[in-house]
Amino acid sequence: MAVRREKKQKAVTDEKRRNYMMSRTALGLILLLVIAASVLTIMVNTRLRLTSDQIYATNRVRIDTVIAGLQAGISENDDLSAEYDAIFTAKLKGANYMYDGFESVDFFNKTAADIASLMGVDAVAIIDSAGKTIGRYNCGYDFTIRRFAMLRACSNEDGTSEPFSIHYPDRTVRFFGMNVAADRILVFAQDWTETEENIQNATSWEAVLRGMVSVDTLSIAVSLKDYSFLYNPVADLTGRDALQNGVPIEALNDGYEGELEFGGETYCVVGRQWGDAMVYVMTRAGTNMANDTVLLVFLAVVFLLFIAILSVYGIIINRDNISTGKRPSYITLKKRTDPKTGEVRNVLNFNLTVAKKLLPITLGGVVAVTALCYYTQSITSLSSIAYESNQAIANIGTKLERNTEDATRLNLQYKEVFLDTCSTLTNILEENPDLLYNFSPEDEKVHYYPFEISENGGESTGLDRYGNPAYVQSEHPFLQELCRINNIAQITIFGEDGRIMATSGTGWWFQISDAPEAQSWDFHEILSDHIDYIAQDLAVDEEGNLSQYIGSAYYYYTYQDPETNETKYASRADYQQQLLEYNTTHQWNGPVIDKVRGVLQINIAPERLRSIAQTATLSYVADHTTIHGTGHTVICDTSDEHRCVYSPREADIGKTAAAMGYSPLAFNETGEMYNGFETLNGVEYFQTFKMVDEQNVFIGTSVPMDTVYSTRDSMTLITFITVLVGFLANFIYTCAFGSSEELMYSEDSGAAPDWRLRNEKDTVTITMPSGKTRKARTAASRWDAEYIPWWSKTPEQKFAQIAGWAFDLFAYMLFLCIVLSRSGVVTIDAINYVYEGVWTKGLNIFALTNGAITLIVVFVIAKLVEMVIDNMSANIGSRAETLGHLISSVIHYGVAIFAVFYALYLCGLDTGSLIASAGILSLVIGLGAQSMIQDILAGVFIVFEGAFRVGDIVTIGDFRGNVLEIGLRTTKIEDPAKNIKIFNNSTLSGIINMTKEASYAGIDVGIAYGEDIRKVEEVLKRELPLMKKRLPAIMDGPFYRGVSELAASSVNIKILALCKEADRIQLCRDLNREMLIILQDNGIDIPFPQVTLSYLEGGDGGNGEKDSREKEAEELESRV
Amino acid sequence: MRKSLFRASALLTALLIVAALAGCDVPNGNKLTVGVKGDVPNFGLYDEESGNYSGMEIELAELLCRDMGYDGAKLVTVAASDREELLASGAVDIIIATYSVTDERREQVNFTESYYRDMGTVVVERSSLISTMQELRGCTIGFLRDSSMKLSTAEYLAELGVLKDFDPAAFEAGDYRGAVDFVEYDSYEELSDALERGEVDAMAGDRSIVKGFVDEDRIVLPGDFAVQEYAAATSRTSGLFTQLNEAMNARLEDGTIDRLIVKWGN
Repeated sequence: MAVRREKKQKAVTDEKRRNYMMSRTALGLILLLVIAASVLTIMVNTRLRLTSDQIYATNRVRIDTVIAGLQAGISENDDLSAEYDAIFTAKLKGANYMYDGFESVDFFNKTAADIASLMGVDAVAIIDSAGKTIGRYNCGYDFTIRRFAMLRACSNEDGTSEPFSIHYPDRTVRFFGMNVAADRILVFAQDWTETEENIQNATSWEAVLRGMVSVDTLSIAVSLKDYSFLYNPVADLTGRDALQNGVPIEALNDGYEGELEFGGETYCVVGRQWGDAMVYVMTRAGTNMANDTVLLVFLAVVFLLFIAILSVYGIIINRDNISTGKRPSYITLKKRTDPKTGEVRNVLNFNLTVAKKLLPITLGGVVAVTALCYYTQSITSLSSIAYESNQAIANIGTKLERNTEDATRLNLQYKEVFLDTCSTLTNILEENPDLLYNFSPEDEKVHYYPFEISENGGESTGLDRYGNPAYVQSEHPFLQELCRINNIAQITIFGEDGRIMATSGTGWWFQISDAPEAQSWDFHEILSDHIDYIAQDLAVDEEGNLSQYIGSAYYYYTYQDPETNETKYASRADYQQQLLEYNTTHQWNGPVIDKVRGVLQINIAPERLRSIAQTATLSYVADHTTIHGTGHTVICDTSDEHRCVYSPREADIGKTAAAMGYSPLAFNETGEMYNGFETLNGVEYFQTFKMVDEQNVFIGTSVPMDTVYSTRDSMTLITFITVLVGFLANFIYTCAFGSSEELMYSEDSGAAPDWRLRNEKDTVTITMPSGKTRKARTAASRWDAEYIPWWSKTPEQKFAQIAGWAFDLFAYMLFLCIVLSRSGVVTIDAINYVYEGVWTKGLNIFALTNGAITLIVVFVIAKLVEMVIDNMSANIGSRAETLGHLISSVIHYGVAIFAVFYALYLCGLDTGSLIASAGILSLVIGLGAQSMIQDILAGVFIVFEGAFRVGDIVTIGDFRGNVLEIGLRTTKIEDPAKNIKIFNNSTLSGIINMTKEASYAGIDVGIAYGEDIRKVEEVLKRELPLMKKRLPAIMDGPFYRGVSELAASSVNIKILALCKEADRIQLCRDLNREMLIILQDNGIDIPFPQVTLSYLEGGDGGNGEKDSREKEAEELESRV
Repeated sequence: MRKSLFRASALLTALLIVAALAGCDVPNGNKLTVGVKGDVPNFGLYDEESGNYSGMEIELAELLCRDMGYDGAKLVTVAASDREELLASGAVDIIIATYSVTDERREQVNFTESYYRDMGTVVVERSSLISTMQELRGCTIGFLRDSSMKLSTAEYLAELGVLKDFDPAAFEAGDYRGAVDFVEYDSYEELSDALERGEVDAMAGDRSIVKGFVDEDRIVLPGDFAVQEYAAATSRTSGLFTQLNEAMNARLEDGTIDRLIVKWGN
């Protein structure tokens, strides 16, 4: 009864103990997850904040660039506007210059249409200072209203009025006025609708802001007058109301920084006021975060794994204590006295045994996770910079394209302007030959052109088409006046042979060339009627001034005076008049006027075009590209030395790449991005170089390293603190326990169960030379470690196994991430940017990461392959198993060697020469490794020939045992006494393979000569079958096989029994015993060795020697 | 152990449910109908595409309604000329629509304290070379129809001496001959177009509105006149007035109104 009660009590305690352990484990799990989740949240939030800070910092720099761009755009706008205005003002002045007599209405009415067509103006009017219209052409405006006050005022110095536009419902009109006579104002009214549009388009918000786009960043603008979007490409919001569409009123303040949402995406925004608008630079907040979060999750998972296995270890130790009755050492932190019973109970205890074992691993874990965080943050920072740089370089190409487009477009518009000028000029000149061709040969500015005219416009004589001497007038006053009016640098007129007829400048000695390579070839094309107009590109003349030449077809009308034979010039009107008359009367009225094609050339020196051309250059774009706020761009050409063609530091331009300190690896022509680290002038930079095909240059970006790593250090610190707290919390929880001691261990756990014995069997205490004792594993157990069952492992062994699993899991996870990332299923920028591109070889973080990634992949693949081989070979049979084992070994060694070499390669060692020099080494090694090679070969052959396999029973020399393992080099045999003999494969010869299904255990039993052999046989016949029952090892038999030998002392009979080889030796002994009993029971004599002595007559052989027989007898006696 | 776990999870679930419910807004509560402008930036502007109102008066309407104990404001666009009618008919409860206080209007509606002080502004084209109010002699000025600005401007011009022998009553009656012509338009857009074309030489209106029509080709003539006070209004017979006035005063005192003015850039 007492025993039962005791048992019941014990059962109750056991149950209580189990429940306690379970609840502790459950709570522990929850705690784990909570800790890991908090750690992750803190890290993510910190990262978010740091990233945001960075984004805002970068955008603050960017917005300056945007504002500058806008400023430039506005200037462009103004410039273009001014240009157009200037043209028309010039027309006014031209008309004023050309025509006299605006006081008279008559005069105006006669000439209004002419003026309009001459000047290319839509509408002309003459008004008085009150606005009353005196005369008009195509012009119906009421100029008396206040609106036209400025027009009437003509308050500019030159008598013109300030131009202004009126926007009518259907069109826009611009008004130009000039005071041409007393109380007379000449008005030009021009349809400005298209022009205004052109100007707006060229310099609109869109035109400027869209060029600011990079991958995740864009620029928008909101009008502060009507709060509509001046430009917002997201979700097509341009023109829509900003307040209703994502911009809160607070954002419309200068210096605003915050988050706004457009089109479903959140952006980090920096805003600046600029005139009547708010300009914003905003970066999409989402993308980067995804990648960062992935790495942080990875870190949190590692952390979780760590604290999980730590907790498990704690649990294992506790359970081990309970099972073995080992009392853990602990300290009591809090006691409570039960008021009712007066019992003192320990409420809070701290387990020191567990603490001692757990503490070093905990601290190690903190260091490991922090180091991992430091590493991953470094990688993240570098990757995102590499990414940004790559984008920036790609953007330069795009921006350049766009700028070139814009430049081309602006160029075209200016060409329109110039074309207009040309046509106005040609009109004026064609109508006023007397103003132009009024030179007299005595004038010192008139030169005689001493070359012959020829048909192809080559060499010319000094004669014109009528055989009269040809002249050139330089510094022509009329042309100079026209230049002044039209604000152009030079006007030149070329005749049909390509020589100059008149010019406003001083250079007259020039002829248009008929050679296609020549610069003036374009004008030759005009001469030969292939084209009517050409605007050459901006060029730098000999003095280094920017200039542009525009050419236009121009006709002059010349005839020969019939009386004087002089060359005379007529106007276009005259020519047309004559032509008209001829067509009606078929008779020439007067000398025939020839219409001759020449070229009008004007020379512009436009400042505006200079700036346009500039923006279309690589250096301008590069100058205006910011990377990460602090980086700068460098451009090198594709020559062999890779000279620098652009750098923010002027001094660098022209230097070779080597002189600048760039690695030659940077200039790979495959188009792959190069990433590396360089130190220039003591500052370390992160560099990216990439070849841009279209521009035929290498563009490189450099970002100072401290910028790159700015977030890393903060993140690592935060992570360290967070992780430390997390680990300590877990540690404390694992070590603390709150209930009574009885639940933590029990003293009456009874005799140690089997597994304890087994465990002790596997370890042995040995004494080291230094005198210390330590536990070592027995030889046998070292190779069957995998087969120790779980429950028989010590806590340390269990922990090691779990840690091993955790590590494997970690490796598989990494492997999965890498594979997913490389195959494009998931993009993890960090990993991608480590893999792609060319890296400097060296001891840098990317080489190390690349190495680590490759090694992980290789190891995991090797492990998987081995797993597959093991499984397959286990199914096929022991031969395959041996082979499989061999292959696994090969894979192991191969992978190890590859890993070492690859790691060295990545770190910059020239493994090529290493392997080459290994040639000499290999000779040395080969000689030394001869025997090893022999062993390996022997092993291979053993396996292939199947001489013996793992598990066979073999005898080699005098060693008989089980084959444990056939390795590459050695074979291990285990004898029944658990001794293991290790043979070099090459020494394995004379092997007896005793593996067979059954062997014969055979003994020779000696019977006395005096016995009747037939009687013995009777006995055996009776007894042997009975023996079979007693000896279960006998498979068949025992059999009596007759007399094997008539020996000196006995008659030997053979008994054989069939048995398993493993049982053979023992069975022989058993058979011996049985035979002894049978023979003894049946009174059959087993003799011992006998010798029959017979003495000879006489004594010894004369010299005291005993004869042989005597000697024998003595020996026998002594033996017995 | 198990029991306590169960209890804990039940409590947690209960908490979650309560939290979820608390977040829900009760739809279609008790709201007041407030008449607002739909075409005045910063005061009351209606965006057709999103169906939202924005502006200082919109926010003010919402605040005051809630102060009065209602669930908010139901907004309705009103035109300047309809305001008295709508209040009288009861179609709207309150008007907060750039409604300026005049003695005349006081006869029909109740005004609260004013929340915004506006002024008259005259805008001219640069090319008209008008730079002072005095130079408006002989010009035509355009106004929004039925706005009180016309009279105020005329009075101011009379003060300046531009208009001689000015009689406000006659002016109101339409019986006016003077050195300046006054013309009316139906909307500010039309007025602006007229100014552009030169049909009128100047455009006058509330500064808060007119400033939106000033571009680089126009200038604002110097001179403060025609100060207007905007206030919220109810019909004379409305029972809401006391509450409304109290709420308005409270908001004026605690600085909310000032904040709103600054926020909306007025």
